[in-house]
Amino acid sequence: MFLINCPFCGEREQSEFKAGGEAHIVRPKQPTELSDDEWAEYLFMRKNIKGVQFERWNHVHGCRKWFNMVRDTSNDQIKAVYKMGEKPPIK
Amino acid sequence: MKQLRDLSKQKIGVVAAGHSSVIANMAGLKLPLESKPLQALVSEPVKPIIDTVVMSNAVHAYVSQSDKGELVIGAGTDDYVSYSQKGSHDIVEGTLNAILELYPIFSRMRMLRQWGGIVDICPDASPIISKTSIKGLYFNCGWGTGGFKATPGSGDLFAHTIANDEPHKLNAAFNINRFVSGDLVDEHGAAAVAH
Amino acid sequence: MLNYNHTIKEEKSYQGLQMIEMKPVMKLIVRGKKREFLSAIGKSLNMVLPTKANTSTQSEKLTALWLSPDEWMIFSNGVVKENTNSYETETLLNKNISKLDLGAVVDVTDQFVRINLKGDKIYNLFQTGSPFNFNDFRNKTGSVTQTILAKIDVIIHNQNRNEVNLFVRRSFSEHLFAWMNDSASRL
Repeated sequence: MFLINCPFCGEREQSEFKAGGEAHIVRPKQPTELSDDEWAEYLFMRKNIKGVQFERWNHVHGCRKWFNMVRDTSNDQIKAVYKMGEKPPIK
Repeated sequence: MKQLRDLSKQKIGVVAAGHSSVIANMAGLKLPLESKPLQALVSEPVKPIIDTVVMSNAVHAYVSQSDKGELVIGAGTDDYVSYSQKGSHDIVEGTLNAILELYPIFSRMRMLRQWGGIVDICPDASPIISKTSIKGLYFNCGWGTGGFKATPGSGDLFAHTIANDEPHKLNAAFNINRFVSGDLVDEHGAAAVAH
Repeated sequence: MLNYNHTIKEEKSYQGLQMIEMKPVMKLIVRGKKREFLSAIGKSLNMVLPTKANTSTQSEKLTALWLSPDEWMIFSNGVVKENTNSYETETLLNKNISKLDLGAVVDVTDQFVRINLKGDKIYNLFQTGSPFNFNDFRNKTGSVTQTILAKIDVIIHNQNRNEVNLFVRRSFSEHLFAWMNDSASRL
């Protein structure tokens, strides 16, 4: 339970949002040339970090826009929110 | 991150539930897991009212009564990765909504305790009892929202896997390689929710 | 309005709260990103679309609600007289927007139900089933928010002090109205 500052709508309650998992996983340009191991790595393997994690969220009950968030998964503290395609403001 | 190759003469079996990925990351290994809070609630004790475990996949609720008379209530996980051991209020609300749908009589019950446990969920909602790409490192994880009743059996099979460096035929399907081969165990399709 | 059956049959009145469906009201969703899209809408309708988040603009006949950086809802202020499913505004926008590939225009008249609420208890009602903080919203005429009410997606527009328009998907409207009545009766 926390508040999220949607980059488009402003501060809203987390229940208006849908989590979209780990961010910045790039879809391989040519999936047909990957080995099964590489495809599984892209599709299923996750860092699942305890600590600062980069993730995707969707304001599904509001503007329905996707955006990125940096959050500490050990205490749910949000470090930063930034739009899709932008560089993360922190490392 | 540098991945370990071989633990040489040692063998390590990891059974760390919600924190499996944290241990795996230490060895430079990524697992197909996401860790999420699963909340449960315990009510004040009352006289015997239900003598069985009740689980509804239709309204998504779980309730049973403990020997001390408390109702033990649970439901689904939050949808975001978190190790904070506390979930969202709207999940509690949804859980209790579902319980009251089944048992309106519980509407005046007071809840004594509420907590969030961290569960590690596989993409196919089935566990992993398996060798890994690192020789000598074994994982028993991915039990997600289920698992309690399977604990003794899974321990037996995990011990067999470690001792022989090969899975028992009962846990052969639950190898980590199924995410590469595509031979997934379709538990989501079979059970829909809790199991 | 061909073969259109209204889901909400009656006006409901409580101490400090009146609720009624405004019908039939034309509703359109317009989407577009280009600068030319915004200016074409402006010229066609003689009004500008709001570009500031959570706000609205109004002309004599129409109101435009901000829904997202590239999405707006336009609805007619008054009820539509004709018994028809085609609207002058839609035809005009189809010609000046869709046909020129500047954006998309979708008629959502029958998809959304517009409920008008009046009274000083509106926000007490919302508080019983929404996670949204209405403190700033209620003091600013023209404010718009999309949020959840009783687990249902809604669009809420602050029309005047103590008067709001609430848009809800038609298939959810009957249930939401029943919930609102139930909740209002206990305020």
